[in-house]
Amino acid sequence: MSALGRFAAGSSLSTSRRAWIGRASKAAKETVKRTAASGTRAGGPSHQTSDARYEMMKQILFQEEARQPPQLSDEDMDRHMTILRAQKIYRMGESAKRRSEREGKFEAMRRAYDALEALDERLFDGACQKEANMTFPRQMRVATETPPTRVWDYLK
Amino acid sequence: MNAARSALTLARFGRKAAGVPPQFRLLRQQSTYARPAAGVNPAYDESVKLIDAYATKKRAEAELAAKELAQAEGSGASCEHVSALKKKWFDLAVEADINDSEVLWNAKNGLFDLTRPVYLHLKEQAWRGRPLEILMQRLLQMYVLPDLLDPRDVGTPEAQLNLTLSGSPDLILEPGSIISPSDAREQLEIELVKFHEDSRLHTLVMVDLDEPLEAQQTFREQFHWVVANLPFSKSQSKANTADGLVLLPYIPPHPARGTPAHRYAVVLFEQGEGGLKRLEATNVSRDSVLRNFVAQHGLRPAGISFFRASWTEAVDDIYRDVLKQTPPNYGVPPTLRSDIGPDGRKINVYKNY
Repeated sequence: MSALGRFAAGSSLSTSRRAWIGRASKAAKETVKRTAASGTRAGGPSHQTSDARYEMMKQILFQEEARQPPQLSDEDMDRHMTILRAQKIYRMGESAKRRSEREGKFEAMRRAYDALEALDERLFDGACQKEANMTFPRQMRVATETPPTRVWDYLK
Repeated sequence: MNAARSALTLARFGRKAAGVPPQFRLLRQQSTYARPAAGVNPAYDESVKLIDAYATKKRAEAELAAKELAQAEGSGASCEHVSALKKKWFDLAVEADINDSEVLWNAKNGLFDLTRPVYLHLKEQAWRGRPLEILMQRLLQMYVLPDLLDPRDVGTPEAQLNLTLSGSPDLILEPGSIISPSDAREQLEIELVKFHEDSRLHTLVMVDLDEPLEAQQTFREQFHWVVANLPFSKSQSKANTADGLVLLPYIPPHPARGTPAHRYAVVLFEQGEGGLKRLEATNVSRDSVLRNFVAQHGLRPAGISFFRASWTEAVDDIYRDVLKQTPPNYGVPPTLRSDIGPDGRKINVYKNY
């Protein structure tokens, strides 16, 4: 009954349900008191769990009726789908821009390597060498949308 | 007002949509698209602007691609280059209109204006979504394909072949559906919806796969209808047999009594040289085999469909009137019952009664 509580039809709780909730919350409070005294609970934290938010969460999940999803009229649905399409177009544009930047950078790198190969074989081999036993590159840092204004301190 | 509206529908969307009254055509509240009101949802208003800007950009790109295509065709570039440019133009033209809610509403409600690339694309998508799967399933399940043609030659059909009985012009026959032979007394309406190719010449063949051959206790193919040099293109999807060369006039299905349900396949082939070759008037026997016919004339399957029919009383009329033969009966003769006497009552077995 507790598992099906949020799917049950009817908006008002029956007397038996209310009585059950009363007993359940009373039982929960007693459990809380006992665990507070003993300090442990099967599968739970060892500190005092008299936080009212747990009770509220349990009530929302298992006792309250689920909300109906919004019913859109045809016109509203049309507007919704149009908005989604526009968002898709915007996202496609942004990702295409990022991709072209990325490909430009890679192409520049490739041209630089080709130029170096034509120029000096020793330097080229040095540039192509990879560090052995590398776990992650020394230059790696978390990608951010807003890099710092001073990216690298060349004087250090 | 209704006459004017149906005339408009006829002009824009063709016979299929205009022939059926709106209340039976499709279950929808509106008969034409009504754009949502602006000023209700600001996100919607901005979306419309964004979509329009994107469509304008794509339309400009499509115009450039069209110019490039015209240039390539004029200067005599290779076939592959021209077809690549055609595809590029088509994709851009589709992309320009595919986000338009009116276009999507029309497509959802079956109103396709096939002169525009976006509707061709959406119609093809709709076909490939489910009807094509059903067609291929039925063709293979009922063994039309290995019996009639090599499945590897047919592959996945590139065009949608719609069969319609003359009596009910708005009902497309589902592949493999069983019809009454009297419904197919008049020749069928053929529609070939081509999504990609330009105007080409096609050959229409209707074959009965299950004509009984008593001498060898088996079944053979029998040609019912052969029409050559039929033009189909993206703009002309309906067959007009007057434009073609009738090599075998239409004979209605006549499944003989006592035979199992006959399969009647209709295949539209593209003629040789990419659909440009015209077929000459030749004698085509009704007892031809389709594989040989295809090999002889260099045909390539473009669209295929089939239906089934069983014997009814009307079939005997077809034998007498059209084929001028006595109606055959391959059925099992009625068994003589030894337990019924001349008066029709059961013979008494027990003598002491």
